Amino acid sequence: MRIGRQTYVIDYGHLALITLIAGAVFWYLFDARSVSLSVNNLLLVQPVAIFALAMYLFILPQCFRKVDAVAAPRAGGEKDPFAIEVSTGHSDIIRMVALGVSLGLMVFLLDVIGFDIAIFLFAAAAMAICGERRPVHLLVFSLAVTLVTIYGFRALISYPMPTTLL
Amino acid sequence: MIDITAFNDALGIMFTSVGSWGWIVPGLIVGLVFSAIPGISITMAMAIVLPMSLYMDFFSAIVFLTSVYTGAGFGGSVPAILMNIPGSPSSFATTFDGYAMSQKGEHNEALGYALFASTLCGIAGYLLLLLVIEPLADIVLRIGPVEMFAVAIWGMMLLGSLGSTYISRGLLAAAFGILLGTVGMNTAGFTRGTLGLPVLLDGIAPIPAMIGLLAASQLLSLATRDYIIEAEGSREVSLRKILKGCWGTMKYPGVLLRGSIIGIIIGAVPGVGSSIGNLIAYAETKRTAKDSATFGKGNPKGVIAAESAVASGEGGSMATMLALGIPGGGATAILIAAFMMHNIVPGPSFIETQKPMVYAIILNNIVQAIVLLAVGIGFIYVASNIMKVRTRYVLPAILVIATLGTYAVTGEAAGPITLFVFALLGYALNRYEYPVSAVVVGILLGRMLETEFLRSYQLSGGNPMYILERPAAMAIFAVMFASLAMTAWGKRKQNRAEAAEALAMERLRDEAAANAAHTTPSKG
Amino acid sequence: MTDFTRRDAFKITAGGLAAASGLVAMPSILRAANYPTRPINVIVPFATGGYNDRLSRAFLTFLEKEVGQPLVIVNKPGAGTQLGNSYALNQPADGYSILCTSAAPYIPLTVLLQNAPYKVEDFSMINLPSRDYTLAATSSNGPVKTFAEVIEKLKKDPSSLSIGVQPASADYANMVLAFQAADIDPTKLRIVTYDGGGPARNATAGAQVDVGFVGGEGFLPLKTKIRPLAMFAAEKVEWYPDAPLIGASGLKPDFVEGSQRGWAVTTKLKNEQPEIYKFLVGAIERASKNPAAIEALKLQELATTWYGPEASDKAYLDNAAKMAKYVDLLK
Repeated sequence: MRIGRQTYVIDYGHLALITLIAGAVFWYLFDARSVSLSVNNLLLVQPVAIFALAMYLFILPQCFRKVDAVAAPRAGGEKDPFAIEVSTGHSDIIRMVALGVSLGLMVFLLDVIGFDIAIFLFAAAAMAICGERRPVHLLVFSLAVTLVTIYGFRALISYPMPTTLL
Repeated sequence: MIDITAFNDALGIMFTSVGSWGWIVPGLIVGLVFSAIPGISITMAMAIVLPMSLYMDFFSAIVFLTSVYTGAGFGGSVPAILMNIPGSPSSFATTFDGYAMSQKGEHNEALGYALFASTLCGIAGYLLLLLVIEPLADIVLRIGPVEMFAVAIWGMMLLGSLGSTYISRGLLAAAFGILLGTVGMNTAGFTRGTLGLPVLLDGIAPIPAMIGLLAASQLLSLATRDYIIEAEGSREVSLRKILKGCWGTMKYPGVLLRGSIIGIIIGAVPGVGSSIGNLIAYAETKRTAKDSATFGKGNPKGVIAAESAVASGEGGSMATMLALGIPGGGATAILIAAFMMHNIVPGPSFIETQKPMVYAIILNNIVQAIVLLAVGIGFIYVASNIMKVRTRYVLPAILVIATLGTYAVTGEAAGPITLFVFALLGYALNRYEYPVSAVVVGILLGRMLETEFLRSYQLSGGNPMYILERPAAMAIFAVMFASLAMTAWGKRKQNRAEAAEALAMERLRDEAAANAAHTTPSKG
Repeated sequence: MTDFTRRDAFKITAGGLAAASGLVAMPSILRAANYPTRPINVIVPFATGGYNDRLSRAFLTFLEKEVGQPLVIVNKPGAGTQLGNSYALNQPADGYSILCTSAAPYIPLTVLLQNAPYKVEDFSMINLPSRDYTLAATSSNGPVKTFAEVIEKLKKDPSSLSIGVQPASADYANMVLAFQAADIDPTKLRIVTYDGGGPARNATAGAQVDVGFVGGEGFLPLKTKIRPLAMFAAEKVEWYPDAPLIGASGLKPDFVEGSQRGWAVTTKLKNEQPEIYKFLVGAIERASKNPAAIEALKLQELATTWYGPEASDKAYLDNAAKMAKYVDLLK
């Protein structure tokens, strides 16, 4: 993107993330204000929300970087000691995304196809994503995980777990 | 202070009911195992075994339940250290350095540090309890919203030690977390941000959200590795190293003491529990440490600080329960129920009329902490073997267990769905270098911040001078600011010293380079 | 599955129509004949350790003897009992789930203030043994001695005393009604809100607020730390006889009764499975009148009084009506 004489690169992912957060914050503030304008309701929520939106505006320019700045090597500032290093290799990212998607599928299908089937399918999928290819191992271990967790948690919690087969 | 005759009677109760001691080891194991399952909190572990205890006689039942409580207080740190999943909010601060240590292959030592910090401070907490149970109870009732608000702010100070690359991103993450923590019905009865979903009336379930945020950044990336730790040599499970960690704990009496004091006081406050004590203890230890830069990268002091506050908090929480009949947290609420089910109502009259029994319960807790030393070593020895299992087996099992654990929190799909949504959020935040921990702190403390701030406002009628009527709150703020100022001063001195040293080093290097090519500059 | 729920939906709309009950009369007798054949779930819409949880657990063994099947306690806390109530309504009306809950004022409050997707009449009471009342109290060494004194001080300066109370509760309604009767403007008071009876009681006992309006029963363990000022009840309360009544303060406000806790089922079960309903009523009645049960529960400060379905339902519906009448005070 060009503005004037300067070329900028837009970090769309970052932009989407903070805009999503700011959108959620704005909606939350709007929702809270629509409930009541009483101090008892807005005492903390309103200032914190406004602060968050201000931070959004402050961070926004960081999503646009000058091209020559991008080309320059990133300054080796102090790394966040709590950030866990996320691997950036291409196949690694595919694996992580695949695992995330299977987790999501399991979570939303628990009630639909039953806990037993959802857990079994997820366990098998997760093993395959992690590199297990031997069919016997896949079947046996997934089955074991399913049986142990279903019966184990049934004994632990009083909530019903809808299952299809077990 | 301690009542000697009652104490002697208490010893009598202890030794005449030796049969009930048999429940200590099973109780500890139940507590350790349940709380090591992500999502199963101390409260839930105790709720699960409560019906079982109905069939025992009173002292056995209490011994059994308090053993579960003691064991569960430590169990949560095992997944926190090995896999970066805090089983409950109280082991959140343990992940900071515990997991970093285990990534360096020092998981044996880290677990040893955690175990000893936990047991030693547990014992310290109960010993202190024995002495001051009655005065403590009166102080606890006097702690009002302003004091609690000061404590919550202190907890938020942890953010300062998260040390993100971008301060603005850390602040946005924290503000977002606080707002997430206030979703639902607030203490004045206003409902916000629920999207019309009844499950959100009580707010976003913090345990699934926390596991989701942290798991996404860690568990999903495990898919790219063959083992939890890459280096083959570091995967060993070594009793010698565990014991080395245990023993090493003794080298930090200052950290243990500070953690214990913070833990006891905060644990004693009804409704706070130990979920905030570990954050404050960690932040304070880091701030005052000379080597604060290594915190978060596997400094044992971080593990010790966090665990000591959790364990001693149990004693504080127990004091409130025994002396006032008020639960300090969910776990003590269940203990009260157990007391009532044996027709005993804890509270002021119970302490007056049954002091020997109160002492016997406290003494038994000390015994449990000592037994935990042995049982705990065995437990971590077994649990550490997870390091030797390939991720293709560990990962599916852990993810399934975490999902079911969050289901157990809410009793419906809302728990797992929260886990998943926050996993996505956590991944995105991590990707763009936002400190996920700041969001977690916000979620854990947001509700408390709002509630106590609001009550302070209501109580004072909006007059800020009200704080002058609350000396305790002023004291907390004073200690907090003094601690901040002192570290800022210390940091300045340290920075100056470092700058001078760097300058000297540079000069040395220049000289060395100028003199000869074969002299290598020594590393600072 | 969908077919089933659609039929259920039809039945709800049909309500107590003779046609609907006639349709299901046959299978209900057949099913009732061998009821119960498996464990019965007791849904408690509160967390472990609360009054209802303790009540259900203490009563469990005695009720199990009467029904001849084990009972399983399912804690479903959240959203002021709304989650547990919805959960109970979603279970099939086959008698395998019953409720142990603070029916009043929680069910009416979720309907009135949270737009809960059910009606007060969707629940039928079997027996509500525990009757709680709002108690105005102060810390035992506080300066105020009587409720009349509270009124006097607040009349002079409405911000002279701080008031601790749970918003949107029977206690809140009673507080407003009492102050309105004394011509004190409630909007000028320093009201501190607590999201539960427990925190409000602690604040009262610890003198963080000058006067607390909270359900009285929960104060019993803290009896020595508080001074009761006014109990919002018409006559002396059996479990707290030394608490003065609100009438003694010189005020004669209308008031709402506090929590009514005990055993309930869905109205759907009562209408569709009269045999099972009758069986459950009988079992709970026999267990409630069992001398061993009365003694055991008394020791734990739990109530067993048998009022029966008619009286309990009436008390519950009266409470709901009063809550509806004063709902504007709560918003």
